[in-house]
Amino acid sequence: MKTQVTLVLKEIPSLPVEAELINPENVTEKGIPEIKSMLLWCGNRQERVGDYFEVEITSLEESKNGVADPVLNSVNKGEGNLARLVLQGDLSKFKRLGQGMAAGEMLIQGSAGFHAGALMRGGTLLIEENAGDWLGAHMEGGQILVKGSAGHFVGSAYRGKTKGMTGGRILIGGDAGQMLGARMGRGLIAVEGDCGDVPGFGMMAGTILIQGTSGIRVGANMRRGTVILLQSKKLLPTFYYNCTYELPFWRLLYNQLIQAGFSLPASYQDVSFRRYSGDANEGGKGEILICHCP
Amino acid sequence: MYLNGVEIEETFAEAFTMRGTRLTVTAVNERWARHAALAATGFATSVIGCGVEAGIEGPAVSTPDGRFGLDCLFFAFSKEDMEKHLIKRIGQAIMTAPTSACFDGELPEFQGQDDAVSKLNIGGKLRFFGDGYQASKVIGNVRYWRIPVMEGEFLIQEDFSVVKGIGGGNFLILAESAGAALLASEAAVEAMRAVRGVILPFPGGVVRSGSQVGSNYKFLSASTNTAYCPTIRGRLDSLLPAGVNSVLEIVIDGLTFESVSRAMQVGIIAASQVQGVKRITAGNYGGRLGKHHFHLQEILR
Repeated sequence: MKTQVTLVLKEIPSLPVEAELINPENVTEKGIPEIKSMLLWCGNRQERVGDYFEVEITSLEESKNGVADPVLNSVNKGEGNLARLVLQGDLSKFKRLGQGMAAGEMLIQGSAGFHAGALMRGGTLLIEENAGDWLGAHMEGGQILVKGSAGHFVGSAYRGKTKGMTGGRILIGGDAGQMLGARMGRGLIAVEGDCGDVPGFGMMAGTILIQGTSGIRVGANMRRGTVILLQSKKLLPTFYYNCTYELPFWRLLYNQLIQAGFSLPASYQDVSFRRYSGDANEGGKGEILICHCP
Repeated sequence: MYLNGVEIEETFAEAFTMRGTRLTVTAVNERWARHAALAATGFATSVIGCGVEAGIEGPAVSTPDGRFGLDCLFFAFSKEDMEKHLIKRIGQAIMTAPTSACFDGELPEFQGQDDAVSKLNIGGKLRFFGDGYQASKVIGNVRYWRIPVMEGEFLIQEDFSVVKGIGGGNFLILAESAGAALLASEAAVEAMRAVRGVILPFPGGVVRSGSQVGSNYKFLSASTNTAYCPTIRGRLDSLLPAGVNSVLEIVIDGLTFESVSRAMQVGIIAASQVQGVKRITAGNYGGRLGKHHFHLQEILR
């Protein structure tokens, strides 16, 4: 029987907590004492889940007041008997939640700290409020849904690494910070709100969509891949204009985003795009598509 | 057995296992989708002479890009043949048609039968037409290729699903006149068009020059179906009953035995309701060559 494990935060910690062990796979088929004894690091101090959370385990059929999110339910069919993991409270001090998770569903009813969903390989991570920096960094698969805003370096490569996110999708309901999708190589990042400077920096493949306004230097140093801007933007001089046209794959992407619960007005369904190629400093094989709204 | 006064001969249609695939061709409107689909499925009546058998199955229920689309079915003897012909036909007939895009029809009939479905990489080979300027885009775990063309961009899915289908289902309408045979054929085709998962690859769905295996000439492997040719009835052992002066054949290719069987059923029923039809029979090779046998009387029961 599929179960739901709920971790209820007792008190917001004063220092950041490294919580990379908290993911659906690690709590499945464990009892409450086992889950409470899972290790966390707070600075140089080793602590346990039970120090920060109350733990409840219920069968999924009984947890009518638990997760009833249609997005989670629609994307996680066939995830076997992995427990659904729900975290309640302001977890903005908890880093690396859902890091490396390969399957299952994890719901954070609150905010998440840095590195949430980093190195993720599968499954779904839903954050109902805000996410910190490095959300989905080096992500390989699965999907991350953030109803609030996300910090800097979403889906990016860590310092010293050459390739960031290589698969999966990250959908952000609010705004995103700087360096969105920096050095990403495949995957999809979509932001309903605004975005900071240099989105798509050095990207090598994949797709970034920004519905709101974006900061300066969009796509700087990008080698390949696609940045889609639904609001007009002055680009770097190393991007050159090609044409204005109806993008054949736009309807497919639009439909996929709508199905995933991303909010895009119907007026964007049939639009043309101005296509720019660049960054010319890096070969010019990337593209920025700017919505040509009449 | 008689149906609406028409004799249904106790025989069977003998059909063969072929590789089948479904393409969904979309365009800005029905006109251009149909131009592309007609060209892609043109001159694809018989696998012997054309290398592939193809036809328009009907309007797509839904399309990936939300535009009007037509589902087309293609049948070939092998996956290699299928790949060769799809690349040619998509490249020459669909990519060339303004506003068109081409997607895998996905074969929902085989849902849950992963072992039965294999993939052919078509888009990944056509992409080279882009001369290095092509780009791919992965949307929902499916890879599409974007090929720059003079009009804008041609979008094609990378992989197309292929299954073992059935080619060569058939029945023959024996009528007292050519007019009656044609009317009956038209009625049959109209009824059969409503069945999904099948195509009638010949012009208008009808064949007037059915063939037999072999020939009096050494250089021919097939020749006219002499036993059913009314103009030479007196010169050989004809299979035509008295009063029959014209025969037309309907050939059916389908993705499943059930779809071919269903199409034959509705087609025979419709043909039997036309005045002047004397007998309905089917072509076979004594059961020696084809794996799939469609017994007419069983189908109608």
